Amino acid sequence: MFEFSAYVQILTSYTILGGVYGLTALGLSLIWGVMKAVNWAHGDTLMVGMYTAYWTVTLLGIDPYIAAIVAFLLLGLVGMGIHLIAIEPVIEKPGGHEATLLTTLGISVILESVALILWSPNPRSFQNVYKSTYLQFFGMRTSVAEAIAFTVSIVSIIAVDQLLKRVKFGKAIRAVSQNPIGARVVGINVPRIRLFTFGLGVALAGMAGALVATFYPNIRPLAGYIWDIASYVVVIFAGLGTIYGVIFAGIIIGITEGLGAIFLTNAYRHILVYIVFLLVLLLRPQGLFGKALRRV
Amino acid sequence: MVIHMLLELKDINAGYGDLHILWDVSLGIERGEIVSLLGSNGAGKTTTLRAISGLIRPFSGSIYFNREDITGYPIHRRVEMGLSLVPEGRQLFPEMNIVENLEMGAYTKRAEENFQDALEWVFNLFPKLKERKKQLAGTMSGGEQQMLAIARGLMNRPEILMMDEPSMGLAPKLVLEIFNTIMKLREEGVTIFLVEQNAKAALDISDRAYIIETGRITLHGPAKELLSMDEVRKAYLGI
Ligand SMILES: Nc1ncnc2c1ncn2[C@@H]1O[C@H](COP(=O)(O)OP(=O)(O)OP(=O)(O)O)[C@@H](O)[C@H]1O
Ligand SMILES: [Mg+2]
Repeated sequence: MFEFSAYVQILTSYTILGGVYGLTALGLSLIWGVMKAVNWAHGDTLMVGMYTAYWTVTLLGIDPYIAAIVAFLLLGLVGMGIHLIAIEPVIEKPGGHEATLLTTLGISVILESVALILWSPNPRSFQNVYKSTYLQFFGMRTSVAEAIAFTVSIVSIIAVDQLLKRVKFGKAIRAVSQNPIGARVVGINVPRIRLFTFGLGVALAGMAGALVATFYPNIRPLAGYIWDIASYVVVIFAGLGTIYGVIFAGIIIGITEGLGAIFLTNAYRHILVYIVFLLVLLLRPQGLFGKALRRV
Repeated sequence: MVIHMLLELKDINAGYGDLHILWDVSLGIERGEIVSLLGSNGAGKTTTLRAISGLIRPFSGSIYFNREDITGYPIHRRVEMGLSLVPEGRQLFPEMNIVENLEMGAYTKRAEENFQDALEWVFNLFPKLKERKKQLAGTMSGGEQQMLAIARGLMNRPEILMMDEPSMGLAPKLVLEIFNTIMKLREEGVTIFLVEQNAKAALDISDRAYIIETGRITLHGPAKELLSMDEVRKAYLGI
């Protein structure tokens, strides 16, 4: 059986994972807020981010955090490509928002199939110093790789928040999400904002994938599913359209999953997440942070 | 055909999907004028403004602004040229405060450089907005929101300001204030295209007016002439 310190260890790991859930969910939340589109390929783009890190580190021998920047930029471009193929052609048509469920599902199938063909279903991982170096604090032990993944996730979420609050282009993103007609009326190029937002959302997922890849033993073509589900839960939990809520909700979901791993065994750990999720939907359908943080 | 007015529509047909709403609408507005477009509910006034502003694309016909054919231009390009709309329903950004809404009104390059001047200008026109800079638009009263919507349109320093029923739902005192502001704007060189159901008030301040019925322009002329025509008085002034 586990000792108490082992529990603390597991919860630390899942708290860290929760921070990355927050980053992944932020991408979804931005996309939903600006164009009311559901991106079913979000987890798959995270998977592509994992492979981007895997290949750039193993083939080019570069630092995994340079690989994370590469993944951010590459997936940003991929995201814009997906947007132009799957979102923009339908989004202004009648029923277009619902149509994105199908078009992004198509993208998801394509990304997974191509990944299976190119990279086989076998799980991979890669060695790096960050994963094998540990930090000790308050009796907890965590790899440097996990600590960095958590920190970079939180910093990135704060950076996006500042972009939306202070930069003119970021304010235009908020304007489109609050009132698309009003945004067009003041001369904002709304299709361009949509393109950029989708690209940014996918870039964040790609970066999250690369960050996780530094310590995750399971880089494989279907790795995205868990992330899709976790990040949708986080988005709805946080209340749509809130930024800091995403951090807290991510961490809460991470810890919940950790508690699931402790009390229900690893294989069933997600059940607890869904139970908590259903409770939130029943008791506070606007999300835990929906009202207090709406002003972002 | 000689195009010489600031804004000119030639045989515009427009609508939504298969729905044909505007039929061969032609009209023109000279620089410095106040021109009204009057008509009853569902006549096609808002649709006309949507076609001019670029919110919808007409099926056929042409729109000229400053002699340039803008029919195919996207809306943001038209705003950049100085064509601003105060839309039906105001369409403010509810979770932004007054200043942020005005900043968005100055989103274009033409407006960006003179942001401070424009801000001072609209705060002079609407002192109430200045007192409440940090209030969220979504928490303002209907009248205040209408003022903010007009102010936001003005932040672009438009050559022509199109307004869709600015007096809609406002108390009589506020209606008066809005119409006074419109006259003041004209004195400051802003050309105004006004859509109204309040026909009497609109005709009182307009130079000319058009009347639209089921998507067709049925009458047009100097506002004073229209005010004295029996058919106008019966149908729109309730006299
Ligand atoms: N988005 C839309 N889709 C389909 N039909 C529309 C749409 N907007 C308006 N219509 C229809 O077009 C016709 C003209 O509407 P429009 O809004 O232009 O009238 P209006 O003169 O502005 O009326 P009101 O005084 O009530 O604002 C109406 O029959 C209306 O139902
Ligand atoms: Mg109307």
